Amino acid sequence: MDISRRTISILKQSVLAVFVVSIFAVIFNGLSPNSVPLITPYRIVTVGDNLTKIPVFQTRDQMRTYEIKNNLHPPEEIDLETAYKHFRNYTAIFIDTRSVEDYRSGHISRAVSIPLEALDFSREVLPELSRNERIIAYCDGEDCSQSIDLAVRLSEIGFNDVYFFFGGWTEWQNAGYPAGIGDIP
Amino acid sequence: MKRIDAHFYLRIVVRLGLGFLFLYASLDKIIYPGKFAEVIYNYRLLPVELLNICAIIVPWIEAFIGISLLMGIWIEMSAFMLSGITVFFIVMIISAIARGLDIECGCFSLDAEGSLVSWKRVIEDVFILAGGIYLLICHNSEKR
Repeated sequence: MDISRRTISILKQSVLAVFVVSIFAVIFNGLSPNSVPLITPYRIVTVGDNLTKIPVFQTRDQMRTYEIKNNLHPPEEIDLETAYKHFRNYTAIFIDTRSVEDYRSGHISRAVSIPLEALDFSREVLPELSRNERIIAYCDGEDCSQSIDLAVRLSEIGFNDVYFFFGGWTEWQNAGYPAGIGDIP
Repeated sequence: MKRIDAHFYLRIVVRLGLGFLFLYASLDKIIYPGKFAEVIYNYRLLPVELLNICAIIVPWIEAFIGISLLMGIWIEMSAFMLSGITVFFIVMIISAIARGLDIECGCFSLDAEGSLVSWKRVIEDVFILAGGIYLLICHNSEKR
């Protein structure tokens, strides 16, 4: 058998193998305790005119257990460990209120960059987000107040599950918790 | 005669080595598809919607390659798939390095410590690719 026919034959076998393995993988995922949805769920966040899709990497169990609750309350301070708990369980959206440059040089993993000055409060703010979405705003640490400002403003316009993480990026970084660098696509 | 023997043993070592490596690399990812999806997301190459399905299927392809190489069945096809998937990994890592992403590689485990994308990872993958091509060539020349 010449090489090209042989290559096509192997290619066909490989495609068939990938197909069979894929079916098996999907079935296994359905039965696994760490099963995830086949299509990645995501939240859409609007900053200015840009839409950003933020994936939610929850397992099916986490999605059932940690449903977003309708707790009506003014913004509250949140400590490092509670913030991290929400991060781990994908139960909150983290908003980095620092400058875009600061965000690019390092931020809480999966956080969205929304500098306070980038929000136009004369229009509808973050229209894609439910007013019940849990939001944790943060900035550099105890020397900055943008996180509180943003939390208060969001609370004023109807978001009712907003927190500010006063320890901010400094405390998160010191704890060695997951971080990201660069832009969110 | 001696040359044939040397090839025979080398082929077994390469086959078992790559088989073990691929099976080992798949385990963490199969157990924690959500974590692996996050690793893929960090490469910023795939649409958000497809992250989970890739994280579910790719580790099982690695496991399939690993098991068939270890068991010595479908060697030619497995070596072909191994070479293809390794080329894909190399392209992904080089693209991440080129864009200055300082991210977890997700190559052999999902442990972030000490497994960031780097040229070292690319060189490792080139050796793996060489192993896969070697198995393919050996198998073909044996059949002729």
